[in-house]
Amino acid sequence: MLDAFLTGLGLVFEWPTIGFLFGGVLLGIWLGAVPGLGGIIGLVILLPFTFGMEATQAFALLLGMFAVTSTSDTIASVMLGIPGTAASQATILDGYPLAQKGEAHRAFGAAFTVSAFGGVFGALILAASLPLLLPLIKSFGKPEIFALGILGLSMIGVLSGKSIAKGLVVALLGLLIAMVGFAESDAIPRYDFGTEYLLDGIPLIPVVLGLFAIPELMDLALKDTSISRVPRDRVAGVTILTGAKDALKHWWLATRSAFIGTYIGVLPGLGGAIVDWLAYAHAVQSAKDKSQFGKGDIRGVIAPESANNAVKAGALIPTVAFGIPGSLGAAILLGALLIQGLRPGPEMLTTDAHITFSMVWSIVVANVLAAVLLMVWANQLAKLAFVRGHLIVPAVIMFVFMGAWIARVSIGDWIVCLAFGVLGFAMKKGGWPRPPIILALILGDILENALHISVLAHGGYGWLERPVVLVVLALTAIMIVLAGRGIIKAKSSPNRAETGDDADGSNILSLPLSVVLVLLFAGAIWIANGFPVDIQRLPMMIAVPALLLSIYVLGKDIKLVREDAAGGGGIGAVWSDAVAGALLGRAGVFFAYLIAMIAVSFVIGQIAAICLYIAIYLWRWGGYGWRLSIGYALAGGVFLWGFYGKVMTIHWLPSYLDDFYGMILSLGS
Amino acid sequence: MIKLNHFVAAPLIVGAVAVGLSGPSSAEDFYKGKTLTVMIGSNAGGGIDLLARPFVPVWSKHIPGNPNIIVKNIPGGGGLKMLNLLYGKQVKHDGLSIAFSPWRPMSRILGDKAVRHNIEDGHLIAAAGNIPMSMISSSLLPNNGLKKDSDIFKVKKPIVVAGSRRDDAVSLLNRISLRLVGIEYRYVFGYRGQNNIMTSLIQNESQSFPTLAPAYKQLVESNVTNKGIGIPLWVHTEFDINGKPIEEFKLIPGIRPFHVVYREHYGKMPSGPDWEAYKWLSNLQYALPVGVWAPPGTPPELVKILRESHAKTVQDPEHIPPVLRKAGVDLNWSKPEELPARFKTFRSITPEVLATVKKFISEEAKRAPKKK
Repeated sequence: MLDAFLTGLGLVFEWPTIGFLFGGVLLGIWLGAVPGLGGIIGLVILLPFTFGMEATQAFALLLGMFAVTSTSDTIASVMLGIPGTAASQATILDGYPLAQKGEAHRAFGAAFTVSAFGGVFGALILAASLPLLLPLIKSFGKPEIFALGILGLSMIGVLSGKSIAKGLVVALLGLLIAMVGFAESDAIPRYDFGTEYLLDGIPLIPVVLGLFAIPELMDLALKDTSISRVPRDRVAGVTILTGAKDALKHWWLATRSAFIGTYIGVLPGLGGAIVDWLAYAHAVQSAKDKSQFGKGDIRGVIAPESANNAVKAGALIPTVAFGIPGSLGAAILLGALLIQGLRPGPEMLTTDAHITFSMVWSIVVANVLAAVLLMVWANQLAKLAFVRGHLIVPAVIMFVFMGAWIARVSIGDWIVCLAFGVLGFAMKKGGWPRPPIILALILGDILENALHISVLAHGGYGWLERPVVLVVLALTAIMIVLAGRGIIKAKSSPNRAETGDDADGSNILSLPLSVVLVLLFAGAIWIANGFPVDIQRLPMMIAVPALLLSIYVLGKDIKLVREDAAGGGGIGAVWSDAVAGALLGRAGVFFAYLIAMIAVSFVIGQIAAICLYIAIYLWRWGGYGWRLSIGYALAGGVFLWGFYGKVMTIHWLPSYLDDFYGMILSLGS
Repeated sequence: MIKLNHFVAAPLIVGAVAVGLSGPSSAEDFYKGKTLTVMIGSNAGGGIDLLARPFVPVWSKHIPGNPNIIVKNIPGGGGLKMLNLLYGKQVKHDGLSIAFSPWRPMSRILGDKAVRHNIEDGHLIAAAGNIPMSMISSSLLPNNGLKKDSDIFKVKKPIVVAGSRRDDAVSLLNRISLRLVGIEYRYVFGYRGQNNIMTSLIQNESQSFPTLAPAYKQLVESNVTNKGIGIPLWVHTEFDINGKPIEEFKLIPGIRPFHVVYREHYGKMPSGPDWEAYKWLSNLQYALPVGVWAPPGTPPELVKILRESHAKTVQDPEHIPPVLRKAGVDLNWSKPEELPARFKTFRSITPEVLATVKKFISEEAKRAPKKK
């Protein structure tokens, strides 16, 4: 085995394998950094190129790319408050506030250091613990995955910020969104409102991008500010090394988080969906001083970033050794293995062990290489935090909407992205935490599937008494108690934790959303009443408590608004102040720009519509000259045409202009 | 009389001359310098993807003009999501976008709402048949004692059968065959993909699952059979027009067909409505579980080119993935002249067989435990 271990290392450093690895790392850095892309898309793009390669070269390219997307996704999470990929959602909670404080360098330094550590730790510890893995995987069937999903949901307590009630309402909203589309047990649609798009459910990526990216971009656009709210000279002493030192200081947290990531990654069906949240919650709950979480605590960056790199190695080994992929990315790698003529299974640990170890070493080398490269570039990247926001907004809007478009290649993706942008903005201004909605949306699907299979396979609910289920549920109970204690302690403390992103919310702006949610949950119950009994059970279990909780929140909002009005010159004055503070008028114009971009796409096509948006935004909103506006727009157009059109070969929305071109071309032929 | 301004007339004349000079381009030249998109209804690395990806570079060599062919994965709903997109308005129906995909024939017959297009509006370029199989867990007898197909008759306790959907044709074959030999089972559906189904058996969450020959050779054999976790119980044979099994078909060595195991134990062939449904479902698997489709509106001359070039490609052994080539397993590709007959299998379901399948599914649903 040691022989194979060393041979694997030698194979990675052979030419041209190391060249492919380097190329994969560069591509992975790019794919991770752009919101809405990520490792899965990279695997799909690269897979055809690996046909003619040797197995070690193919995996150097694929794993070099795949392993590092969760290192570079930190860039968007920290700089823009947008999860670069699904794996870096928890990083935004403290990473973005750090950038707003002008400490993006520090966040990068810490994140890249622990990402490399997590990736290396995950790969090596798994290689060492191969004999333990099959028993571990065998003991995690659907009942255990269901219990783990419940454990994931218990993180909502940690992510709810000031109001646990609001956090729960938002989480229930996420679960209810997960109910849209065909039910798990029968092909009966739920909440589809007669539209084809909703029959397949609401896709995650447009929701995440809308909910997080659009409100943050609006902040930059409306307030005409840079990402950093403090000037550069005020944070001159903060460097990449500060972050790297932070990582070393919190090495034990990084190790524990990598451990969580590695072993959660092994479990099929859960993969990396919740691992960053679990690690983040662990960081909060294990901290003595929780007061800075959500405001830019470096530990809130270290924990998820260490875990989300470890998870990829965790998913790889069972894929190779047992043919059991722990995640979608691992399933694609399994395909690559078969294309290479290799068969996952015992042979990969015996006759082909050198290839297995070359994969492990590819992950190790890629993680270290990416961290070094990003450390070198991080200083330049961090400077973006001080650039005027108007120059950042159009490019990021382009990436956000194209990221959303990839989900289903339907105009519904853009509408969902925009609708959740409006919701995200309303939540931000009303002091509602946004992370629980995403956690619940991800887990809703996993939980429904695991519950459905568990009940069918075990003939009822006897599986609740399985030992591993009991242990995980007991852990959940401990997490809830700890979260409850933390909230009570925080309420009595002057330095209360404001985990989440609800710190600057206004009571009166929360009120309209409370009313809308009460109506929405009431409507959901009314509609569910029309479903067959088996189908309505789960939506009812979600919507009824959601209605009761949202009525409670509404009552509390009314009480708080009355108090504000009593101390602030009446409701009218409080409302006017809140509207002026939130710049609602200009926010409306910002949304009108986006609505116009979507509408114009039907006429002139998406590439032209996005270019037009970029040019008009820079010229009218940003106040830039026509040369810069048009140049920027043209560069965007070339990128859209080249990367999304030619490299990714996506299908664009058919437009009237296409029909016109088609008519002209048919005349010519 | 209408008088044209020089500025209007000149471009019109130039345009007309250009149109006249260019003439009609021949269909043979159509694909030269163009990109043909092959859309696949599964994830990259999924079952059908693994067959399609090695296939398309070889296909490109046989299409006049040797177009660049790209593979595009649109997973979801067992191919339905992709076919809904391909047959819709979003994709141009110009001969440059086609599907290589499973297509859920039973969902169409049973009127599933997830099917939002009429497959018969398009053009079938090629049809691939497959060898359906059943896997069974060795743990059903003490000391992992289920070692050979005839041991199934010693199993007296109810078992759990895993699958993806209620109406999945391969899974129906597996379940009907188990019912025909009197095995009591509970059907658990909802698993997403062959990997998850296989994992459920490894975890002993289920004790039987259906598979297809390529997936068996690529994945299941090394992780289930070779590890002693389970065995291939039987393969499901094709039947001729008189309902007799075609035993000459090249099946997987060492794995006996269902009817042979049945006949050995009971001394006669199976019979009754379940058997009739079984035969129809099995023939459907051999005829058309995977299709290559061009959407409605694709020019007929391009459909012809694609059909002919596809037929040449299947003669070229390079189109088979290495693992399957080594194992001697391939899809049973149609010849162009066989296409109408193969497609006819889909609509040849008799009212009796349809009623049996519907009753079978609804009886299973009634036996399923309720969520309280």
